[in-house]
Amino acid sequence: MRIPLTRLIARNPFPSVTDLMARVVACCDDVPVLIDALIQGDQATVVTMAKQISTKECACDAAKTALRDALPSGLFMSVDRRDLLQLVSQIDDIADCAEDVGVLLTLRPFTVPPPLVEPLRELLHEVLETVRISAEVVANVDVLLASGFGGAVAKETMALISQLGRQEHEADKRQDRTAKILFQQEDVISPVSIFMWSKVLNKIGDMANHAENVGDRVRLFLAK
Amino acid sequence: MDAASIIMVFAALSGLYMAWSIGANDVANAMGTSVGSGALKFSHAIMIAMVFEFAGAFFAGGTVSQTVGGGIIHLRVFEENALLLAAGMTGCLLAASSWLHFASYWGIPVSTTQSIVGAVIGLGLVVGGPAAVDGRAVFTVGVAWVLSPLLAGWLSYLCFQHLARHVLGSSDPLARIRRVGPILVGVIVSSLVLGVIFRGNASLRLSLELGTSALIAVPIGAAAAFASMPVFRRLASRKAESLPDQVRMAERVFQLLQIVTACYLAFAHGSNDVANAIGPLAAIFHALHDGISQTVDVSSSVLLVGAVGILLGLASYGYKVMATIGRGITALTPSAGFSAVFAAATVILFGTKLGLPVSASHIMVGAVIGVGLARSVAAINISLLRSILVSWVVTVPVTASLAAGLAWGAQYLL
Repeated sequence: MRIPLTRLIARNPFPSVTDLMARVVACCDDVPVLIDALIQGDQATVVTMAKQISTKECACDAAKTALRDALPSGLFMSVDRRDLLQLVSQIDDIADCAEDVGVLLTLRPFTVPPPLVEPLRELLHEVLETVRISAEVVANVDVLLASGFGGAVAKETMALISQLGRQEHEADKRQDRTAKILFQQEDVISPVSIFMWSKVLNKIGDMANHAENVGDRVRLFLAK
Repeated sequence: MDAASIIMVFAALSGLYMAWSIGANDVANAMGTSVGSGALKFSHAIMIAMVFEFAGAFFAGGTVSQTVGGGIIHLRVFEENALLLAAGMTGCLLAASSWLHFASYWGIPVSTTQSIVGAVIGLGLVVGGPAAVDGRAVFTVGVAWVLSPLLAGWLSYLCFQHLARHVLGSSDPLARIRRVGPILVGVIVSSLVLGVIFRGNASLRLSLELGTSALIAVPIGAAAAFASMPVFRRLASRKAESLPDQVRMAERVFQLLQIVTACYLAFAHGSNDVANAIGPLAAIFHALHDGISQTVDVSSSVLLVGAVGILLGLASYGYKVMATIGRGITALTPSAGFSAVFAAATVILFGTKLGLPVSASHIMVGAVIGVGLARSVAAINISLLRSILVSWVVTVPVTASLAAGLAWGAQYLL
């Protein structure tokens, strides 16, 4: 082989990033199932789902490490290598938060206070919608290569990232409302329950926060 | 059998072997980009390579072969000793082949063109000293070696920028590709026709002036463009839902264009690289049949030897190399692949028409870096550039020394 182009053109990491994001979304989709089981009082399913989320999160970690290993420093990339690595980190953090939710809910017996049931479901809906939009943003990155990270696709992706920001804001407001309802119960349920539910709500909210950060990282690709 | 016949057989075998080696290694490298993106089925890539490499070598390979055989060193230093010229040139082929083998074995990136030109320089130095080397020619070739990858990079950058801005980055990529696609087909077909008839194979009376050639090439290109319009209309017709999906569909249309550029690159590559094998061979045959003169006539039969050699190399080993390369290069999007290959082929063909032996491999590297700078390649391994630079510095002195050694031995024996 004279001048091997296979050695010159390194493997495209973007499909692996899209892959990782898909795994993370699958992980997050289990959280509403877990919460529903908790609401029904089905402790066995809660434990099973928590384990399943944990396993999926482990697979996400492995995918993240493989991706990092495939990005040596001698590469000239169409996006900043460090920005890409931070994007991957934020994507993985979403799964970490989902796992933490599962773990928290198995630390002690939880019951969902009746006033919290609907707000909790709505919060999850908003958070998962945030994660879904961030997955759409990530899916666009590979397509952006075609237009050199410019043009109409880039503009559309920017608009999507703005939409992601607004959606995350909605999720934040939902989280605040749910926390308020939680604290309205402070005379009815034990302080430990309040404390733990607070942590759970924060973790759920963090999923949306990291999803928004994902959008911010992709925004950096477009700005350069 | 007299000495001349023996040397002629040896020379023919060496030339054939060099051509075989080019077909086995270099062609696969050039065609690999089209195979990797999924544009070409592997078997089709081989067929295209065979047809167009042969065409490029046979119809357009004469100009560069003339330079390599008789334009690098002053052939008069052989002082009518045709046997010495024949032996010396054979030595050049052997020297270049050996270095290529060695470098390939150790995974050092290397250029066939630089190897053979270095060897010829070495031959001249031994037989006639520094005065034997045509300084102006060597300087021009050296400048071409430096400028051609840069030109290819610049051209591929421009090409991709234009496509990104006006086609793939537009709000209606499918409509744009329906318009732009045929134009691109027309340009490439015109260039191919120009490649054949402008300063082409004189013995087939295919060596026309620029004006006449253009008058023939442009209408043929336009006809091809019109003929391709229904194809583009069919491929880029469905209105996909989302903009990213439309871009993905437009990229798939580029796969069709990649087939056209693959033909273009194979032709250009054959036209320039066949000289690496048969340039010395042409000088030998001319010397043994017509005596030594400065202008080496490159006969069609010599071109045929080179073209057939390339085909043999491709058929016997090149397909394996192509499969390996094709599997490895998946990171070049069709539009980026198109831009890089189009730019590379154009610069190579331009070099051919100027009679300059340029390195197709380096030009391809330049073109890939060009599209990389336009942010269309996800990741380029630039640490490879270091080894490429090393091989630049090392190749010519090494092959010159090897050829010089063999020529000195020949002088001693003859």
